[in-house]
Amino acid sequence: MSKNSSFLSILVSIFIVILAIGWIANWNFEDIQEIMIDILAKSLMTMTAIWLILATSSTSILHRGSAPRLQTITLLFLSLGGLGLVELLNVGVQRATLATITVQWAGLIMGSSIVLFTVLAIVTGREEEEDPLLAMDK
Amino acid sequence: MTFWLLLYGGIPGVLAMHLQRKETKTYKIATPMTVLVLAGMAGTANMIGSDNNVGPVETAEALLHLVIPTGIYLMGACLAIFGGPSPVGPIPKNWRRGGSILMIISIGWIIMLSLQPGNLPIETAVMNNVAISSLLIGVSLVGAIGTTVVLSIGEKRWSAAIATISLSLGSIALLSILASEISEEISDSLQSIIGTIFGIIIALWVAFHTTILIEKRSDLPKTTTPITDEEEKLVKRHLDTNIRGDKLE
Repeated sequence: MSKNSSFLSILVSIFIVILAIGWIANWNFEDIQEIMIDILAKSLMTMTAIWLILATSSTSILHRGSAPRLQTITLLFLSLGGLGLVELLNVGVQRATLATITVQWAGLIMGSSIVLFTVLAIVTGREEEEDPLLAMDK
Repeated sequence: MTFWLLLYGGIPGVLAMHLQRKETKTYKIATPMTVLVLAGMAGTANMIGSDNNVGPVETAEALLHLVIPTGIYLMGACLAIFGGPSPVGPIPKNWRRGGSILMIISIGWIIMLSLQPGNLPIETAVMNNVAISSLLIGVSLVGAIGTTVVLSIGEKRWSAAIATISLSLGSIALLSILASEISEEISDSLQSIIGTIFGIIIALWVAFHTTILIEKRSDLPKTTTPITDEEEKLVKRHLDTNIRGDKLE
């Protein structure tokens, strides 16, 4: 399968799963505006968190010159801008929102690791392996 | 807000400090800074309960409830991957079957956590519905992506494709059973996960291009002066001596 068609099939599979879960969660087309605003707010919160993590984790290379300093300051301002945009959407960042999104991020990471390790366990465990030390005696 | 700033800003910062070389000043202040950050987190986390909102304590509780089955699953998967006839590091040999059993036990635990959390030996977390809905949505989405990837590789790894599609369909089935009780949490988790995927892509793209832009415009380090004729002759003489075997004059 070519790269383009496999990328397209990944997008299609994501779309099908989102549609199925959206149907389970009783999503209505009438509420699509609210849903889109919430998705936008959550993506802005994610961006804010990622830029903040990148900015603070690059503080240890600040002594290497002006470029890392400028980079850290830019990322900090970007994260502040992200927070401002969330406020502009009238969603607001509350303690409950931060707690909920943290648990949701953790759930997504753990779910992804479950699938990844399942694939690895099946792919590696399927092959018949031989102990190299025992094989030397033959 | 302070707790979350320390969690998403302070922890990556002190982790980066710990990764420095041991003789640097940054490394020397890493441990005191870690203590300060952890103390700050502990100090701000205990303010929970003043209103009825969920906060850090409830988040930690929900994460602990998720970590137990997921940790057992990953441990089982590691045993299934590395527990072959040759021992790998601390993992004992011939433990593949044991690892598979641990994986099945943890899947059972996750099903119990979803359908009947009250029957588990640990008390149900306040944010259990949020945690379980996001875990199941994560498994179903990544399972579907995994199936497509495994099939598009085209090496006839049918068992891996069947496992990932089963995980995906099983999670969707669990979500549909739970839908009557926690449809709001499922909807919120789905919106969050879609937003998170977009957010990660855009944030990394912007950060990457910002770095390129800044690095391109930064001053180049001062270059050394070109070598003199004398230095050139000296280098040539050394090369002749070492490569061609000429005698040093």
